[in-house]
Amino acid sequence: MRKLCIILLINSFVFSAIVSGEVNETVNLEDKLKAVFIYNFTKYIQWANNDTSGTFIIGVIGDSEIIIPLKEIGEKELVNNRKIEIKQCQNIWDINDCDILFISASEKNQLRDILNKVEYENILTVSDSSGFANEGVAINFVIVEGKLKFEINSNTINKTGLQVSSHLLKLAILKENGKIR
Amino acid sequence: MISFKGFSIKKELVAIQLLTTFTILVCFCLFLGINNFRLFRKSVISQLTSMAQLISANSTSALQFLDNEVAEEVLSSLDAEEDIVNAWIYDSEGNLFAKYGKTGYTDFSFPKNDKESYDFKGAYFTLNKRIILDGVVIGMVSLRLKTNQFRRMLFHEIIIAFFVLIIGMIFALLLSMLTQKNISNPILHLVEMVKEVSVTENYSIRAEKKSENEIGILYDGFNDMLEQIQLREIERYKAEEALRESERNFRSIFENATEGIFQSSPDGRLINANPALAKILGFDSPEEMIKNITNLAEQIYFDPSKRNEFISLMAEKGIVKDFEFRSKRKDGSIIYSSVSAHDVRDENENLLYYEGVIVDITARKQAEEELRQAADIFSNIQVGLYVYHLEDIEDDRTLRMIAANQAAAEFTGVPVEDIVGNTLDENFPGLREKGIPQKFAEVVRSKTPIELEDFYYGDNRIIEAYFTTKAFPLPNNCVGVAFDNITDQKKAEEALQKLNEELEQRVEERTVELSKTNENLRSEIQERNRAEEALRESDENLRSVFDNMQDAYYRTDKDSRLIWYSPSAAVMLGYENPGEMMGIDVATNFYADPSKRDLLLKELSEKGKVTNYEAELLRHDGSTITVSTNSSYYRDKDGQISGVEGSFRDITSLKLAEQVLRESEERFRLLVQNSSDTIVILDAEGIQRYVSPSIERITGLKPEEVTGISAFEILHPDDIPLISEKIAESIANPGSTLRAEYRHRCADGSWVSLEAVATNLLDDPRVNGIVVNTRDITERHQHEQELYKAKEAAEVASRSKSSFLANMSHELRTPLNSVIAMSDILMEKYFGKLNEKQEDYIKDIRDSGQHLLSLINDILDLSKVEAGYSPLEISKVDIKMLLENSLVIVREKSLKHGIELLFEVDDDVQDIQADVRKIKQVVFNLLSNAVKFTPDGGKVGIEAHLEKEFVQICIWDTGIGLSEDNMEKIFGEFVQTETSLTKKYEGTGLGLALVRRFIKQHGGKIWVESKIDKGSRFIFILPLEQTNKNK
Repeated sequence: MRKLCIILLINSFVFSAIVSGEVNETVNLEDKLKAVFIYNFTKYIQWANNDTSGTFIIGVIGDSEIIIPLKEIGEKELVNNRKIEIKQCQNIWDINDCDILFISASEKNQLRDILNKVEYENILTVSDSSGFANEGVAINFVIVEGKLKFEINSNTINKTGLQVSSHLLKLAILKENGKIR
Repeated sequence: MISFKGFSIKKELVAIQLLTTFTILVCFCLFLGINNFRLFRKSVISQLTSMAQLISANSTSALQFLDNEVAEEVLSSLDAEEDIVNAWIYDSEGNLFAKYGKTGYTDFSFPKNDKESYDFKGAYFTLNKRIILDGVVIGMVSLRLKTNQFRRMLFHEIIIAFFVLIIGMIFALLLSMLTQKNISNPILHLVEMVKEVSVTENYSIRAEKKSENEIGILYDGFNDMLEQIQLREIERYKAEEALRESERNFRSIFENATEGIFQSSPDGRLINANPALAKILGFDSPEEMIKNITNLAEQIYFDPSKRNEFISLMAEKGIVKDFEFRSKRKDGSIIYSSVSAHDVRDENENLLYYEGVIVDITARKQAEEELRQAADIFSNIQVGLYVYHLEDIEDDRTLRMIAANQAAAEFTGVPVEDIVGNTLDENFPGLREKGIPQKFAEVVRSKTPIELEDFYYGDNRIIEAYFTTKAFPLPNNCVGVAFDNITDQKKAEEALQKLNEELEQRVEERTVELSKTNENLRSEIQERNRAEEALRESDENLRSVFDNMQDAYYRTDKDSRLIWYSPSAAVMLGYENPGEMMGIDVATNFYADPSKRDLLLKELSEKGKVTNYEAELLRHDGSTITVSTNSSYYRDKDGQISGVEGSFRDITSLKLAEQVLRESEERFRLLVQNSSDTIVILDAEGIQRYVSPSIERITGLKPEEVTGISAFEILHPDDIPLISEKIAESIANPGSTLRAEYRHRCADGSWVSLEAVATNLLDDPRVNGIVVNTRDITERHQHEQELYKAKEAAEVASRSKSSFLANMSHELRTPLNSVIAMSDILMEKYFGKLNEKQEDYIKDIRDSGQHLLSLINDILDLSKVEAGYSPLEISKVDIKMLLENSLVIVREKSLKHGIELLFEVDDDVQDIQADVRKIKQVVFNLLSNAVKFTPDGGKVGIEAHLEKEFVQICIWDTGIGLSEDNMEKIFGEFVQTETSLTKKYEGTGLGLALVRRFIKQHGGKIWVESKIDKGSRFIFILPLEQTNKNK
């Protein structure tokens, strides 16, 4: 029940922002919405290592405000009955134990290194930088006509071995490496 | 209820059937319609629910990621569903998220709903369903369906139902028109008939029955009813006739009855009365009575309270019988009357009036009163009565009082409780010397009463007075003792007699008076007769009871019907209720064999009375008893026979005892007849009174040939002295038993030996003779003879053997003497010296020869004795001298062994008659035995003294002794006590055998007393003189 209330609260927050079109705290609201989306992805994606023990780790590499709303969610929600740990990754060597890795825009320069590192790992990579999807990030947030949408790179998904629900795919803008389909 | 009033039965039947069909069809159509609607609704809901589930499943992700375009895309898939016209999706807030509408329905305002539900509204059906992801409600989907399809279907169904209804009704109409005739026609026929009967009043018409169902039953019932009515009409007519007749009869009875008939109201008025009633109460006419009497209680009842009693009895029972009261006549005189009445009520049970009959019972009442006075006087006589029970029939000291009446207690001054339970002697010890207990016991035993006139008695308890006493036997060994003071009784008797005379005189006067005045009044005559009868009977009953206390008593009328009986008769026959046997035909109900009653009556008519007539009577429970009856005629006042009376006594147990006795006698007789022994009963003169049949088997003489003759006629003449002696001895000793053997003559003249055991039972009244039990012993005699012969033969054989032995011994002795003599000569060495070995051998030969010789001598002697070739040669023998001399023979040997010889013979032991040689040998044998078996340093002695006609001689020693077993054996041939001893002490083993033979030959006796290792005493006795037979 408590959980339900919280989601309703978040949703109302998000919707009110969208509907009113206020821009005072645009960045903040957008980050919050992205964090909710990241959490919702876990419901439509199945990780290959069906590990039910331990914590579900969401890592953030680079500087991003998104870590704040993520931590709020992580304190209150569970993924497959696992606690959520939000981790600030300092460098490329710090990302291996993540289940989801958010790659900040600031990491554009070493994006290739990061992706190489996680290419065949069972890690869902997420970013919010234009063109990242084409570079090989699995899911990339974009704003289309004032609405938050997301792109999915099917090549990357296939490599990581993650199972993505068709419902999610139906909502996404599908990308492949290097071009727009 | 639907009313068909005014319809004919035909129309009514059709209408009922149509209505039924219509109702069924409408109900059926209604059911179908409702069911179809329910099924349709159910299918719509399930269709819509699955559709909503599909949509919600496909729209969760769109809701999660806020993509309403995708959601509307999902909804647009509803284009395929023709009837779903609108669809909406709401988010969790309830805000519209996506919508869908078919052409023409786009402007439709959306319903707002936040819970799962469905409803039919107007032409549309709406369903709301939640969208749920991971247990969380994230939105709502609503679907709207247009329902015009359902309406179409409903319309079609109604049309079809209407047509079905129309067709069904037409069929039902046709069918009912056809079938109603089956029911309506017979009923109409019946209706026609009812009309005819009611118009013509002809009840003989009958309906014609056509079927067997309820209509048929109705016809039968109707016909029965007509028949009943017809019969009742006839009966009613008859009843009316009878009523008229009975009305006439009743009127005539009412007018002419000799008994008074009345009807009276509860408030004491007379409603109706007949002339007889008027006459009884002294009025001139019934009308006068009815007019004058306004209060019955005051005017008629002598005691008005009796009227109240009568009314309360009526209220209680509704009927009153023989209610007796005294009534006042018109002239004021009093009569006794008896009323029997019942109440009459209307149909609501309200009392209307009383109705009844009144009889004048004055005559009877007076008679009863007089009788009561007589009974009072009787009770004043005060006869004392004691009942004793003789517990032991043989002992008059066991007379124990079991009952006493109060009169006796008052009379003697001794309370009842002080004496009942004690014996007569305890109560009245003085009576024994007057012989009273003995007399009472005799009454019990002989069953005959005794009377003791002027009996004077008194002791410390009873005031001295003169008594007259009557003791009479009662059943069960009891004796009743009635006693009285003579003066009192005499006075009472006189009073009774006088009173009886007065009574009779008065009754007679009364009879004359009554017969003169009331000849027409039958009831009064009956009353008088009854009174007279009661008086006479009671009088006689009293007498009878007095005379026959222990027996049952009865009286029958001329037709053998029981008209009176004593309570003891009812007890004897097992009837419990009083009066139950009254009026019963005696012959057929009580006699087990009714012809026995006829025999009794026949005997009665021949002799005038019957005594001790035995018959079997049936008891109430069906069992039978044997009774002995004494009967005689009883006569009325004029001496005419009016019946039979008598007493009877239960003798069942007596009969039973008699039967048992007879049976046991029968058994005994059979036993005697079938016995192999012959039983003869002799009287004191020796006449054979009875001879049992087995005599024929033994002697061939028939029992009747030898019965009644003297026992001596069939005896062998040689046996007569013996048997007459035995008979005399038997007669002299009553009860004694004697044995004798005698020879009995047979039919063919031969003789048979019998053994007889005779018992004198002359004193036994049942036998009164000498019972002789004889047995055929001819065979036994023969056996004895044979046995004797066999014994003789055996003895001859034994003697031959002995003589053979004697001869043989002699032949053996002759050569042996030569052997011994020759070896003696050799030992004397007359013919030269012998070397040492030769001398030893010769000695052996001589010793063995001598041993053999002594052995042969002994055998010879023994066999001689046995064969009877060694007779005693009796001479005078000085036994003392003989004993002294015999010591010499053993002296040498005893000296050798240091044995002391002792001699103790009395001086009077001198000459006896005996065979000196044999006695010498006896003494020598015993002495040498004594020395032989006595160890060195022992003692051997001879003792002798006279013992009456014998001399007793004892030879004793302190030797090795004998065991008890051997004491008997040693006197046999070739016996020495032990084999071990035989070697140590040589001997032939024949010595003691010879000793015994010789002593026995002399008529003496030898025995031994001995103890092992202590010594032996051989004692023998010899008679002083020899008789012939000992030789």
